[in-house]
Amino acid sequence: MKGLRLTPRGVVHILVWAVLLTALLFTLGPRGDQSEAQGAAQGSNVSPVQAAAGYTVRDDELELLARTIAAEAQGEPYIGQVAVGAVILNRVRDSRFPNTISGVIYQPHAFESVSNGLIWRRTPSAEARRAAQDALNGWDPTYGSLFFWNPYKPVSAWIWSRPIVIQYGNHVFAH
Amino acid sequence: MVSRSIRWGGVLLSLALLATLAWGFSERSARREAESMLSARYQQAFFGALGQIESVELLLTKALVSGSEHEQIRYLTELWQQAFTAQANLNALPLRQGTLMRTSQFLTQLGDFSFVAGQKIAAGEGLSAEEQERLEQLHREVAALGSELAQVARASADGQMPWEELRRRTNLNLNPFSKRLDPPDQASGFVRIEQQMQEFPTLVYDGPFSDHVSQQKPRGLTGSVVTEEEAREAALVFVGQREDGPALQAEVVAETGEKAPIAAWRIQVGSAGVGAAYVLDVARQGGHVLWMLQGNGAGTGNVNYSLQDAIEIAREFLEGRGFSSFEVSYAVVEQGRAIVPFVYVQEDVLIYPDQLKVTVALDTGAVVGFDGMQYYTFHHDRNLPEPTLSEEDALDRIHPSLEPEEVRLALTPRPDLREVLTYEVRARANDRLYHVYIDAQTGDEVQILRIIESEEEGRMAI
Repeated sequence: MKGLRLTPRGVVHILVWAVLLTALLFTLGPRGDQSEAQGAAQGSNVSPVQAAAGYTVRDDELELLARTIAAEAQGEPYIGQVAVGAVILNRVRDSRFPNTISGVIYQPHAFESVSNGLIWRRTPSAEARRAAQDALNGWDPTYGSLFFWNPYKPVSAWIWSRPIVIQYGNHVFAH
Repeated sequence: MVSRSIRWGGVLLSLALLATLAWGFSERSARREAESMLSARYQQAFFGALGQIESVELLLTKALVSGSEHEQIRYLTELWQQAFTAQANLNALPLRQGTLMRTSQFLTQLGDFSFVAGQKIAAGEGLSAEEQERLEQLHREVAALGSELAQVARASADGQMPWEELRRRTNLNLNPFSKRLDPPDQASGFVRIEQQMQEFPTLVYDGPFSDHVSQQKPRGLTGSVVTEEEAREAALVFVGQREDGPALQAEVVAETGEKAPIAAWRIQVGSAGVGAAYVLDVARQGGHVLWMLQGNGAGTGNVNYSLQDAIEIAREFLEGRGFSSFEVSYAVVEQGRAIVPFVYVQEDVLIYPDQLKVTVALDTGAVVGFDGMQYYTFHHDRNLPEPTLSEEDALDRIHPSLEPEEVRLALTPRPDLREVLTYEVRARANDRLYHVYIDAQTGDEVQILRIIESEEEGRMAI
């Protein structure tokens, strides 16, 4: 039973490793706060002229939309990806939400992938870009929905009170 | 020996502890710095919104008493910008989703209404007594909103809002281990503001953000209600069985809910194990295919078909499905696919609200997308009015620097969805192509589109 006895040196070793591992874990952990700060900074820059003119979509807006689709609808079927893009564009058109694509995407707490920084860690696939393009060209598999959520994850009771339009893939879409 | 290793161990442990402490302190100060920066952004947005709402209130009073039309237009236009910026700023605050939705709607519609009012004055129409009364009502409401927001600002003794607290509370929603899913938010005062705004009546007027625009019901869905079996059959016919291709099957994969604006089945059409499937939504009313998409289109990136080929393929596709009397307006190539919009033509007049879109993959030449939603939303039997202006009258109205190439009648939708009979004048200036729309009754210019032309990529209107 000798092997199991804890020598003082053994205790020190365990402690040092524990401290180092904890330090390592914290350093490598997600930096949600910083990505959110970036979002808030960019989101408040909205020109009313642009909003009233409708869509003259710039390449960087298409890219941002594709990025958000890639992060929010990962693993969803193609129609589910177009649907996420459509919800973002429905919000842009709705008086109750910001009137630009970046305003909607960077609105605090609007999208989980913006809050936790996932949106910056994934390069959008060609498929996500096509989905963004189809949504911009008017395809809307959500019939004007303003919200979507994963019904298998806990979300607020408030969001379940919205009028549900359709469930497709792993998302519920609602007005 | 044992005592020596204990001593060394002690030294190592102390060093490790010191290093951890130092790391902890630097992390903490970095976090504090990040928090203050973030908090400063939120303060800026909040006080920005407060200032803009106060100036909206001021501008509205001036617009109401101004005796000069051009000053009135200036106040109303400036007010529109201030209201939109205030809305953007409020939406940059870290509040729980949905907290300020009605307040945002109020600000957007207030700005939009003022802009439309300014345009009416500019067009010489002036404001009706009812519109004047609306502006006064809006003034009372925005004044109430401003004082409520000022009260929220005063509620924090040191001048700084508790953003961190608000943010943490709203974040509870995302934590799967938290049992308190819906934290009360009333401490912030924002909830109270939103509740008060709920009591204000919503606006119906002639702007794009008016409630009647978003609550548009489809007019083109005619015919009797079909069964699920008939809907699957319609989907199969729409996709089209190729003689040499594998047998297609249709399967219902989803259905719209009771509260959806259109009752429809979502149907997947494909053959087991071969290629990507098509997804189509088929309406219960009349069994019309609302839209179709196939996600794999132009996945290879090769271009084997020209834009002209694609337009022909799209036209054949539509004609094969009973859509005749359509014209191609403009077409674009994007990411290896051609997007071809078709406009309905009645009595040689272009009916722009009734549009269909077809997407053709340029690698395989296959139709990978169809969108009939806009067509089914707006299409109905129309009695087109007779134009009071002649073509020559319309050409006299366009800017002298424009060289007209083609003129024809077109029915165009205004931002508030009103349909106006216009002359569409295709004209050039400085080698740029424009479509200028002249109201066929009043002679007013109602819209200009600039057409971007490119050999390979087609034409696009902006």
